[in-house]
Amino acid sequence: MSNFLEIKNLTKAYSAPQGGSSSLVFSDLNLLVEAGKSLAIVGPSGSGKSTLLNLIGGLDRPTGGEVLIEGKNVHQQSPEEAARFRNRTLGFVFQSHHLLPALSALENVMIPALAGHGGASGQALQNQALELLHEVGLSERANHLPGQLSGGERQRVAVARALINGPRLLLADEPTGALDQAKAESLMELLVRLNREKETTLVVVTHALSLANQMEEVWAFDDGDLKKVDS
Amino acid sequence: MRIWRIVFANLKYSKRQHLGTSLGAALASMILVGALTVGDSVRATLSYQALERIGKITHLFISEDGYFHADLANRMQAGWKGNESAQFAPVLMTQGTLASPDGKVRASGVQVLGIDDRFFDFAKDPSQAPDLEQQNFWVSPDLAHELGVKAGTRMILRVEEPSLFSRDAPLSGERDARFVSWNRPFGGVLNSSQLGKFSLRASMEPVRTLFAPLSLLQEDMFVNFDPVEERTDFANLLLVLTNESENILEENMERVWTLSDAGLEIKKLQSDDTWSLRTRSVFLSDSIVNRAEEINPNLQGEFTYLVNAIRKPVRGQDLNTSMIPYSMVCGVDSGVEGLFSADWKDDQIALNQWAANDLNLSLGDQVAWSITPLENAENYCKAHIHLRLEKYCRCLKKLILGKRAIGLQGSRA
Repeated sequence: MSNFLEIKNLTKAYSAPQGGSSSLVFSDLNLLVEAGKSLAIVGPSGSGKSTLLNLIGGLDRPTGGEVLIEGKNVHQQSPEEAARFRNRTLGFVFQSHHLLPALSALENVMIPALAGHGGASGQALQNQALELLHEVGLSERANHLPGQLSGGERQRVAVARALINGPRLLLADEPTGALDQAKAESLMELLVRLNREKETTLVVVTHALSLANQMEEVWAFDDGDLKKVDS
Repeated sequence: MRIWRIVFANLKYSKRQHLGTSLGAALASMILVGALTVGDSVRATLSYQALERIGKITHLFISEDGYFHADLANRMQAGWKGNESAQFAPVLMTQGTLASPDGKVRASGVQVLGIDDRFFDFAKDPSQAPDLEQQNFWVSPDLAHELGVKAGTRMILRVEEPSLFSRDAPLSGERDARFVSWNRPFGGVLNSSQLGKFSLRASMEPVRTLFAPLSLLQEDMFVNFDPVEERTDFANLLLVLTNESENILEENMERVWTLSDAGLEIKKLQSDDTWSLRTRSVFLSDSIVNRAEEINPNLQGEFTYLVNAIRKPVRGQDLNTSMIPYSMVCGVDSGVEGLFSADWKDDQIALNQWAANDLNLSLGDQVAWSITPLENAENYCKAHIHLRLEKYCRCLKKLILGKRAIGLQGSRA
């Protein structure tokens, strides 16, 4: 299989205010992820997991090195290209669901398609959203507002929303962080299942090793270095 | 789903917050708009009232030092030099009390304006000028409302006679004030278009003004004011209507203005090359003294005052000794005119030879003299003062002593 995601010598440091010495998060990270693989990145808080995920998703810019997705440098695009790239290629799931409280679960799922970067629209979009909700087990709750859903259900809606544009890479940043153990495991099973069924490359950041072990590969931050954990 | 669905869904979902925000914004807007409207309205009202009070007047000359000759307006008009035309009108402004002959109607603290026909050139509608030849009294709308009398009713106006010097001076006592009165018919009301609300006060209080012919007031008010020239044509306001700048106005005024307008006189003394600057107002104001000192820094001030009596005190029988009644005392600075040495003390005095002979005084003798204390200023002098005769003085007819001896160093003379 070809390398879908390629990270080369990636370095990130945050400059200190008022001219102080900069704070190095990590340096010279290298990582290869094949298309359709599932990958977990673990590590203690502050080790750089979310920073790495933000760099992969183009939400932040690296201090050095590059991130290539399907051979395209994520950080060498114009703002318009980057927006289209994120909308069409990437799906994000965050620790908090970030659903709009005024819209139903179905409407929340359809929101990314409204950005106008192509894809389904109209009834086709609605059908696609309903299908995704069915896949995450919420077809009966499509017309419920987020306030009428449980925490786990909201996060499932967030997963469905991340998949509406058919992304080839799904980035999940601590998706189970706000859930209890049972719901966390259920959500991870869902992600794994979607990864297999849709062949969506999955990168999950978590600090729970038990959940990470459900991924095909586990990488861990160790003192600023990223090392593969033998299963 | 369209983008508007998100907008409306959010509006509906957060309707309470949006309603509260909208009501708050509406309330704040109403308050701001109301405040601005009221502010504009008040500003416009104040502006309107101010314009009603000053009419077309663009500039005003006020005599700080008393009164000037009313023909200054004629001279300004005749000698006017400027690109724009100008109109002038003299006004006599004072205060008085208005009453009906039977005493049933009475208004005190009334602003009294002596005007002539030129005054109405500054009104919004000069064509509505009343006939001042009838020598009637006219009043402002507010005063007419207060009096409630009909045209033709006779009214008595009582005005204090102008003093020779400022009422602020310590010598000015109300017990000595004299009043002038007129009994004239009430002519009617001057409305705002006739400049009937003329006032220089920045106040919202009613304008209580009586208008009378300028000549009528002048002839009686100033009958004792100028005993030398016996002129009565005085005024204390000069109204101006012109589009010229203040600089041009001041240039014209400087060209026309005379010392006589300010009640000043420069006279060469007979005895030597000394010149004196005198005022009909008794006291020279600080502004005049300052100006004079700018021109000649070597000016010497002099204060002359009435002495009730000078006598030689004899122990045990002070009141029975010979004395000189009603003489004059003159306070000068030490060293002036070569009279005194630099070490001249404040308890030393010089008398002319005649006075010394009359009182049988020798050098070193004590001299007693008495003066009337200044009104409300007892601390400024003593009624009875004992000084030592130091020098005979032939050249002066006055008693001479250091200025500080009579405690009047604060008065500029």
